Amino acid sequence: MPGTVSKKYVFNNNADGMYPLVLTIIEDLGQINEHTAFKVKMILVELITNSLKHSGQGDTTIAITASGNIITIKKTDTGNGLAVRCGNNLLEWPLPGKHHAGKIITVYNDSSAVLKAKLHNNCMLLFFIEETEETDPIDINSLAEHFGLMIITRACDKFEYGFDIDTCTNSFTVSLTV
Amino acid sequence: MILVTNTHKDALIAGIQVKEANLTVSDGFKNEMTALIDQDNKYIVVDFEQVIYVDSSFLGALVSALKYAIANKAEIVVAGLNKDVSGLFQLIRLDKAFKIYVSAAEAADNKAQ
Repeated sequence: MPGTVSKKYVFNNNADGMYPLVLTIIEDLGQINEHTAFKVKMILVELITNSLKHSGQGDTTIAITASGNIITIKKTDTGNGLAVRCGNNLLEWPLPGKHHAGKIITVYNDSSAVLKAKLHNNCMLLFFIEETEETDPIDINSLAEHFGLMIITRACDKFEYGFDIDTCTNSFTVSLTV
Repeated sequence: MILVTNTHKDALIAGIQVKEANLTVSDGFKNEMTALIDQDNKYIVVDFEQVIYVDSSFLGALVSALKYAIANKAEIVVAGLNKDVSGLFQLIRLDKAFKIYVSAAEAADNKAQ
């Protein structure tokens, strides 16, 4: 159990600082088991990689809270909105129109799984995975080449993305049970 | 240069020379792998022994290289994964796409058999 932890970190979007920051956060979480540490590490690497790719000059903030047996990681940045394709359309935030709540979109799929997202509204969605029946041998050509969202979704219990219209801020909130 | 290569029996061992296999080196890695396949190497062992972690960009480049290898009737296997890297391969099922060996030497021996 990590005990009670509440800390914020600022990442300056310099790739050299990524792994040292990940290790610092793991250390600050204190007593967590090896399996949880692995998952937190993978989640942090992908959240920070997302910032390196998309957030431009602005800083990235990472807030960690641990209470009881739940660890929550929230990353915010002011870069480009999360690039999610729905079919051939690249979604832009906030999503246009109304009646989004409950709608499910397919983000990407390959021979082992389908990454989907359920829209809460026009500014927030929840990722989840539907496993597909494995083929033997695996169809290599159908494999995805973008794994970031898949890694985070597989490593946690809950993964949400939100776009704040007022501040044009992206937030990625991930929680996992120790 | 991200990869240093040497031959061992019938295998080409491509050792990753960076500790952090992330988006800063993924394009370079993909280009170097493509060049090795174009040079008609048919069994390439990507050795992760020096690597402490990989990110999704690097894994994407590795999968892209694998697709290119298959199109050119070549094979890519991986070796020397530490616990985190091995765990990541399992997490996103890449252990089903790549043959994984404990060491590059073991991977090369497997080719020789």
